[in-house]
Amino acid sequence: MRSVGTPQAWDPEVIDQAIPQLPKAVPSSNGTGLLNEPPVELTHEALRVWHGEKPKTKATGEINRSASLVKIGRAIYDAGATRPAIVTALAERDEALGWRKYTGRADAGNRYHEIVDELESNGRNSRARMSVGGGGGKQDNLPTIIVNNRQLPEVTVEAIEALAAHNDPPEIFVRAGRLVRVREDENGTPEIQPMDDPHVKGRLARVANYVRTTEKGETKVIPPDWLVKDVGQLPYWPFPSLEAVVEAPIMRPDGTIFDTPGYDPETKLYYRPGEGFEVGRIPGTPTKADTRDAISLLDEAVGEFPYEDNASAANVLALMLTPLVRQAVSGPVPLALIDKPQAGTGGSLLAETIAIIGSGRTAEMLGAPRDEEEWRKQITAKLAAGATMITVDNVEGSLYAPSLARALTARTWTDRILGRSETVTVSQRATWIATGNNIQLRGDLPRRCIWIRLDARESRPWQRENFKHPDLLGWVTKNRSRLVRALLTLARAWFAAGKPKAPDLPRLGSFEAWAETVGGMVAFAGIPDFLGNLAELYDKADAGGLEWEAFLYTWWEELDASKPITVAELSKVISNNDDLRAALPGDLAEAFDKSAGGFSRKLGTALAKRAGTRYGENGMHIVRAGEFRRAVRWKLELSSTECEFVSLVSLYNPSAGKKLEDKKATGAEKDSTNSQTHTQAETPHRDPEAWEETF
Amino acid sequence: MIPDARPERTTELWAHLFEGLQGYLVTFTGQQSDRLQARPNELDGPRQRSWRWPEEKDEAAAYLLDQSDARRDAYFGVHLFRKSGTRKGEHAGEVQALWVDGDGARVPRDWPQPTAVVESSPGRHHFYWRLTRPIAPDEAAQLNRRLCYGMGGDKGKWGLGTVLRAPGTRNYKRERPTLVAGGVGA
Repeated sequence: MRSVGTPQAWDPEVIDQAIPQLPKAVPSSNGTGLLNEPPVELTHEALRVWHGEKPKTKATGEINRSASLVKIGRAIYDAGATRPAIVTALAERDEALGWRKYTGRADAGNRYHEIVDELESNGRNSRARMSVGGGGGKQDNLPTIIVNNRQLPEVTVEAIEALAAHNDPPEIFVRAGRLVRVREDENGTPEIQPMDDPHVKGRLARVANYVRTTEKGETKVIPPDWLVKDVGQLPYWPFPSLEAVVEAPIMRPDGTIFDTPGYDPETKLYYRPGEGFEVGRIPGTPTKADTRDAISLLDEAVGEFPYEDNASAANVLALMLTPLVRQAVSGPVPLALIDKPQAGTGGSLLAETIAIIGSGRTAEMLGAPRDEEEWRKQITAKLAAGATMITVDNVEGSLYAPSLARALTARTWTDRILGRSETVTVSQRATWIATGNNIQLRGDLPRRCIWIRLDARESRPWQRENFKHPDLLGWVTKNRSRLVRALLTLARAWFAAGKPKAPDLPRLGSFEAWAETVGGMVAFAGIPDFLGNLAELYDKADAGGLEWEAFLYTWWEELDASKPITVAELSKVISNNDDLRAALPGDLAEAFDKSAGGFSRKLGTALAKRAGTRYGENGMHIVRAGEFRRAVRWKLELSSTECEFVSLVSLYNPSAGKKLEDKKATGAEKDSTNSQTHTQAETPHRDPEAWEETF
Repeated sequence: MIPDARPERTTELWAHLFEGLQGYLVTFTGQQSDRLQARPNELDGPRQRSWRWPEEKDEAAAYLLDQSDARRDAYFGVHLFRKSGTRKGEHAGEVQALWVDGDGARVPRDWPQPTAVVESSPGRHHFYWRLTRPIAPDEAAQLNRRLCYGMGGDKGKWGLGTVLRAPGTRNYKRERPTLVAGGVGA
C-alpha cells in the first residue's frame, strides 16, 4: 500500500507555500452585501428559513447543508416559486449563506435541479395520497361470503375464488412456498414482501364482503381470523409464481424482449420500471451501425476503467449483459471477480456502475462474512428477498466460502429460516460480483469465477483526472435507459444472427450455457478475448499448487522418487539438501524454520492431504506406498497419458442375470457349496463383440 | 474463520495521524435515522467516547468496529484533545496531520500529495497529510481550510472537532452499506 515518491510526512511550511490562499469573500449577487430577497413572498417562518436561521443539523451538531438547502427550496416551492426560480435561488443561498455545498462544482446545476425534483415528486403543500391498493373498488360490486354455519373448506374456496378473480393483473404471487406481493417502499423501490396474516386479511377484505346470517338478517363482518389462517396455509394457491422483480426490460429465452410493465408468465418476472424510465423499442434485427453505436455508448460508462487486459474489458461487457439476459441462460452464472492491486482503483465504482445499469440501483451488498454460518444466512436472506444483483464488497485477502461456491452453481437454494424449524427454497438467478484488492480465491471458488482485473499502473489511482464523466454514477443513472437499450441491442443482434457460437471459447465448467450465450453476444458485438484470462485466474488462485509442483519435481530430480520413503526419512533428506529445502512450499518452509518435530508432522499431514492430486503436465502425484514399522511410506509417480475409466458398460456382465437364475434354481444345494460356484460369473465380460450383441 | 484485519487498518491510520502525541482520541457513532422525513446521514442515538491515546487505541478500534457491525456509522476525531469527554475545538491538542473530506474532489497533481487516503464510499475519499512536526490547532484549521477550498472538498469538514469515518467500518449512509477502505500511503 505504500507509494513510492510521496514523503510519509510533510513540512507544514511546504504545504503552506504550495496551496492557494482562501478566495476573497464573495458578496451576494445584489451587490449590496445584504442577502438577496426571496423570489416569492414568504411567511415570517419561511423567511427565517430563507435567511438560514433555521438550518437542518446533523446529530454531530454541524449544519446539514444539503438538507438545509432542501428546506429553503421547500419554503419557496410551497410559496409558489417555479423551477428556474428555485434553482437560481438555491445557488444564491448556497453561496450567500456560506454553506457552499455545491457552489463552484461542475455539477452544481444538476444538484439544485435534483432538489427541485425531490420537491416536485412530493407535491406542493401536501403529502402524496396513500393508495390503499389491492383492487376491490366499490364494496357493493363484490361477492358476498357467508362465514357462519358453514364448513371451513367451503368458505376458504369462495375466498380464494374471490382473491383469484381480483388478481388480474396479478398482484398476489407465490414464491418459495409462500404468498407474496410486490410493494414499493417510500422511495419507490419495489420489493417482494411475504404476505403475513394482516396482509392476507386486508386483501380478503378488499375482494369480498363477509357476512354472518341469522334469523334477524345479515351482519357484515371483517374476514375472520380462522379464514385468514386457512387461506395463508393452503398447500397450493391459484396464483402465479414470482421469481423476481426487475427494473429493466429482460430478454426472454426465445430472444423476445419483455418490456411491458407488470407480470410476465413466461419468465415469472415482474417488471417495474422506475419513474420515467423508458427504453423504447429494441430493433428486431439490429444493424452493424446499431451495434457500433451501442458499444460506443457503453464505452462511455465503463471504458475509462483501467483494465489490465482485453479479457477484463470483454468480461465487463458480459457482466453488464448478464442481468438483462439472465432468463435466456438456462444454467448458472459465475461470480464476477473485480480485483485490483490497490484501493482507489475504481473496483467498487465499476461494480456500482454495472449494478445501476442492470438493476436501476446499487446492488445488494454482502460484507464478506467471516464464517460459513454467516455466509449461509446472508445468502439466504438476499435470495429470499429476491435480489437480482448481489455484490460481495471489498473482500479482504482471501475469499473462502463453500456456501457461496454452492450457491453459484445452484438453480435453487434451500436453507433453514432463521429462528424457525422450517426451510425455504428459492430460485438462485442472481448475478454475483465480488470486489477487493488482490483477492486470493480458495476452495472451489476459482472455477466458479470470471476475472476482471483493474490496474491503474500508478501509485495514486484515485487522482486520475480528465474523465469524460467525472460524476460517473450520476451520468449512468441519467442515461440508464440508453445504456440498457444498448445492451439489449447487442443481445438482440446475436439472437437475430442465429445465436452464433463465439470462436475459441474457453470451457467454463458448470457455466457453459452462460458462456455460450453472453460469450456469443460479446463476440458477435466485435469484442474479442472473452474469458481470455481464465488461465491466469486459475494460476493466481492456485499459487499453492504451483509451489507444490515445484517441490515435487525437485524431489523427483533429487531422490529416487519411485522408492518409498517415510516422512521421517524425507525430513532428514530435506534438512541436508539445499535444493529441496529451497523448494519447500511456503507453509512447510515456515514450519521447517521453527522446529524439526513440527515440520515432520506438518509434512506428513501435507503429503496425506495432497496424495493423488496431479501436478504439472506430467501429472506428478504423491502415492501412499504401504507402511514400514507402522510408518506410512510415500513415493512419487507420473500419470500415464491415457487414463482408463470405469464405466457401467465396462462393468456389464450379460450372463450375470442368467447365473443368478441358475443359482436360484439350484437353491440351497449351490449355496451350501460355498463361493467357488460364483467364480466365473464374477469376472466382468470384456469381449467387445459380446457388447455389440448385447446392446 | 477468516482473520479480521480491520482493527489493524484502523489503528494503522491512527498511528499515522497521532503517533508521537498524547491526548484523548474521540469516537463518535450513530445510527442512520429510520424516520420517514430523515435526510441521508441523519443519525439517531449518537454516542461519543473519549479514549486515552495511545494507551487505549486498540480498545477504541475494537469498539468502533463492534459499533459498525451493529449497523452504526462509526467516526473518529481527526485530531486529539487535551481533555476527556469533549469534542470542542477549544480543547483541541496539537495537530500532527491535516485532513480534507474530498467528497468526490481530487488533490491537484502539483500539490503535496496526501500521505494517507481513506475511501469512505465509492469514488469519495478522505485525504490526510502527516506533518513533520505538530502544529497549533488553529494553524492546522487554517491550512485545512485552504486545502479544502483549494481542491473543492467538503466545506463543512475542515474545522476542529471534525469527525471522519474510520477505515474498516461500514458506511450506512448510502442505500447499501459500503466498507470504508484505504490506509496509509494508499
